[in-house]
Amino acid sequence: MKVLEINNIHKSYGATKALNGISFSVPKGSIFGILGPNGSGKTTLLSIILDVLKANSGTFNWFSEASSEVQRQCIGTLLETPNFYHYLSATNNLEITRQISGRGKKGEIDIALQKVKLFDRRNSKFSTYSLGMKQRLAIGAALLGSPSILVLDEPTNGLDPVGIAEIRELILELNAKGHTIIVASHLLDEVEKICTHVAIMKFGKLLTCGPVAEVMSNDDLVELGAENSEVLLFVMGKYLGVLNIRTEKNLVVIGLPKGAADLEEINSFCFNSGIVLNHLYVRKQKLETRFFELTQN
Amino acid sequence: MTNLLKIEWLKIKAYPAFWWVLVITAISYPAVNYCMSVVYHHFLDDPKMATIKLMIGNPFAFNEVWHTVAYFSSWFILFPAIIVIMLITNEYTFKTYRQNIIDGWSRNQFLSAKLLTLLLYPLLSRCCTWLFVYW
Repeated sequence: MKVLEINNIHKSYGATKALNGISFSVPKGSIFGILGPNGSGKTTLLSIILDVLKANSGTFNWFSEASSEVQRQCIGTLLETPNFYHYLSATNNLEITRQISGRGKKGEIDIALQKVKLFDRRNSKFSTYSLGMKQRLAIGAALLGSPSILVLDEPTNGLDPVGIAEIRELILELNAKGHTIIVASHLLDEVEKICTHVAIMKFGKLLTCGPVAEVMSNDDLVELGAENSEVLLFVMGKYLGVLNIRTEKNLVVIGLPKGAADLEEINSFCFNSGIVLNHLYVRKQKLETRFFELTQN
Repeated sequence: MTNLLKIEWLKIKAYPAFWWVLVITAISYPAVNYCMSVVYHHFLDDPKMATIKLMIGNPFAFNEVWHTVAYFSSWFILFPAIIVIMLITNEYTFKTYRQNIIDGWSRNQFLSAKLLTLLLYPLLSRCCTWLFVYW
């Protein structure tokens, strides 16, 4: 089942084309990452699906229905910056969120504040908070009443490493309960660690979209090391299915078709050829590498 | 509708600036009218001013008092205006109008909530005027 379907959305700010025919869909229960360099249209896209902006053309459907405010009430959102009343305390700000969205009971405000570790400061004014605390409160507001869909735009902005790890845990924990989470980010490491699906955007265009494993569909790279790397290079050249082979420092790196890297087989092949390996490792392709490949040409 | 007003109430009830300006309004309106009535009686109750008093009549007697009070109060119209400006501009500077929409208000609900609150202010100040006039 699709939680969100986006069809051919266009949006321009004057002469600037912010979004140029974006279409994709978000399956239920996924952690969907929207990636892109600065100014690629991530926030514009999220603003449109949350009805803060109007698209020039194109449609989107939440739960296969046209969007309405009732649907937005069931979506926990953090869009771009934490937006709260500066003169109100955290509790009062969340009470407004709760009243408008109808999510959660009165006592759940405290639970949300505990989750983002702001409970001790719940009666301080929002204006006295640090950047990270503001961000935490925004996440707390999104979590209020544990909505089945979360839309988070750069959720780890301004957080310390511990905070980032906590948010990651929180996202994984919610996902395990079956919640769908849409995350926009340029922190590729973060996305790689948690996302099940990604969409990569650049200049308002969708470059690629799909499950993480599919998007990163490239060759497997295996690193090998032995006492005598020249002999190893020669021997591995004869290994069945090798696409390319090269040396990096004193390691030999071979490219194999995706999914063909069987370390046991490689090891026994080398051993039978009279080489004892001291290093054998499948290099996982980083999302970062793939991202640069896609966005730089 | 009551829900919209309830939410607007949550926004202002813990807002010190709002209460300060409201207190200033509540003081300045009766004060200016009271001062003017004192001044009027001080100068025009003098027998020498009898002709002038005849010309002006008594602006602090019914029904003339409504016009008089409205006129003097209008000198301090800036204070309620500040309240309105504050409440609207806050939503834009803090970008909370966006948050309200994201949280699940329609644009119409946002506008009508504001409009309803703004309608309450003249009602409130009208009540104050009534109280003052009858007192």
